[in-house]
Amino acid sequence: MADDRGLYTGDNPKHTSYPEDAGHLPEQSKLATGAAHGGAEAGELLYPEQRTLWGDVFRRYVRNQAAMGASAFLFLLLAYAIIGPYLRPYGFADIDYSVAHQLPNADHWMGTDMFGRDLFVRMAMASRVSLLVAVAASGIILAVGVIYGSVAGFFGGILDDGMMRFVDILYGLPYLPFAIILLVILGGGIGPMLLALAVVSWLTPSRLVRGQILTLKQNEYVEAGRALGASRGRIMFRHLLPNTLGIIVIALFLEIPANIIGEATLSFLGLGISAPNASWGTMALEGYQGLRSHPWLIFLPAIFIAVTVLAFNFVGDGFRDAIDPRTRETR
Amino acid sequence: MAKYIIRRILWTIPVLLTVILFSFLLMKAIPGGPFTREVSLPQQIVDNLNEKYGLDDPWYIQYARYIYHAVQGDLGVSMTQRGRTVTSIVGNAFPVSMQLGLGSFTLALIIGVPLGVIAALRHNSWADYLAIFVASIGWAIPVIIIAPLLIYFFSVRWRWFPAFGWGDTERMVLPIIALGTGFTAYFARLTRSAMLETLQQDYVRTAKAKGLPWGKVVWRHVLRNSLIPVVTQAGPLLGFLVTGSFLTEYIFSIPGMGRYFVDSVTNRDYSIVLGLAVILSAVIVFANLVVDILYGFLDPRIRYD
Repeated sequence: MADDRGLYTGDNPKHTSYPEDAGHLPEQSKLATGAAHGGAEAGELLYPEQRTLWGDVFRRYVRNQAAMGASAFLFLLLAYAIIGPYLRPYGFADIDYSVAHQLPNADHWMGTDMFGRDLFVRMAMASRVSLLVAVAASGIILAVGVIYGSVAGFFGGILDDGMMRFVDILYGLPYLPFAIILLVILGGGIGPMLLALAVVSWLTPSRLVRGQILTLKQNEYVEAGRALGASRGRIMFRHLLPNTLGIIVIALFLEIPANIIGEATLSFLGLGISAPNASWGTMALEGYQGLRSHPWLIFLPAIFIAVTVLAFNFVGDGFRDAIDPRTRETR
Repeated sequence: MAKYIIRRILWTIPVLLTVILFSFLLMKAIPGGPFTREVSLPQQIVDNLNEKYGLDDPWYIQYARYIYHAVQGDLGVSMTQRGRTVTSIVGNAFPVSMQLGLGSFTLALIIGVPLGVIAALRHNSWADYLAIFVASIGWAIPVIIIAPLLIYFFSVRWRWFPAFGWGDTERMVLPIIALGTGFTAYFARLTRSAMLETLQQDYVRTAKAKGLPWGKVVWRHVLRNSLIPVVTQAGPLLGFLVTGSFLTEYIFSIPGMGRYFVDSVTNRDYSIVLGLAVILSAVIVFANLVVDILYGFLDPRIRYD
């Protein structure tokens, strides 16, 4: 022991003081903090500020004009969906035939439909439902996909084989027919709609996450963690999952517009949300039915759906470019 | 390679069996039997009908019988349209959906791919930005929006094309545009990003450096290698085009599989719904199979174990 220390001290003079300092802890800690401060000051000369991964992502995102414009629009839309119904003195299902089929005017800012319902209020309620359904469905899809994919990728072997074979089989399911059948079985409404949207859609995220986990598992830091005796749970939650966060966020923003369209499609077929409740799909259906005489009824939901989907796509692209700047060159 | 193909083909069998099983069980779960009417039938008649169609047997017997007949091309008889077999209904509807799907696919290929190529070759120019802008919008507009708008402008307002039905060329124009727009935009984006990636490869620089004319470099080196991701995406899309035309068929009243499917779900015609679900699944599985095999031929770097 003494020999060892002697050898060590001989090698590195700094360490000679170590056993003596052990008795004077307060001073040592003061010294240590002083050194740390000094280090930070010296560091400031080299690196102007502390940078984190997500700080960088945010900085790159803010510089993307299309993505920022789209974000601003989405915040406006959210505000409209939340407070819109309280801005006008009409209920979203109030029928008043005396004012049916009006174009936008001072009383009815977005006009009225065939029953004289105020479209400004109705559109706000529809936006609530459509956004809620799309975001919730995307959340469910990603939660299931991430759990499934990470378990398969992490444990590997027979379990992985079996789980991925199951995914392969489900890939043979045609999405829309199954969503339709499910909605017929469960009846309409928001809950069944979420299930119908999610039932086949979690497959792609689960493959994505599995692939990512498989790649990440090869990294040296995972091996190092394992060598240091880190538990499986620690490796999974501290080392693997945080590194998949990027693709999960990107997938989320690509999933939301897909679900907006999915909800609209199913409601348009008269399956999901039904009157007097409103969603963008039911509004589009009503607009389609009145197409020949009153085209405004289809233009209004058309604008909402198209611009919102476009905005989510821009936000998703912006995130992808911000998280992985290499993709920017090629996309 | 041959071994891989055989294994891949054999793999479709359990996939199809499972998919049919899912459809089958879901169909059993639909509330209300096929003989549930507004005016209820006498119990004796319902019992007789159930016996005739074998609906009293346990589900696995019914499933086995269904598979046994389906393999022989017999998908049962319609429960609401008397005397019509599901096979004959599918036989009429499938070619229609196929025409619509292939038409839209062709549209997407001949417009989307060149659009993407031009955008990539003029990277960061106004042509590029215009192409991305158009493609983004095209991708953002779902069929339930574009189809009514097409009908409004081209049939109601300007009266250029009829809005309903199928058969004549002029009836096909609007549905094909409605279904094809999103995919055109998708192909354009896909081709553009693949091209941009290929353009940065070393072999492209080499080809340029050795003095090959630029047109030849693009045609022989860039385009060919860029089309690999396009093809892999195009396959599942082809399946989706044949099956995903539900709304287009619904809105334009086209007698294809989607239209029949929606109608049959409403009429609780089990056997047609099931038959269509099976055919649609088969189309998707087959499309995936073709892509997987094609992928191996297109990209020799892919090795199969």
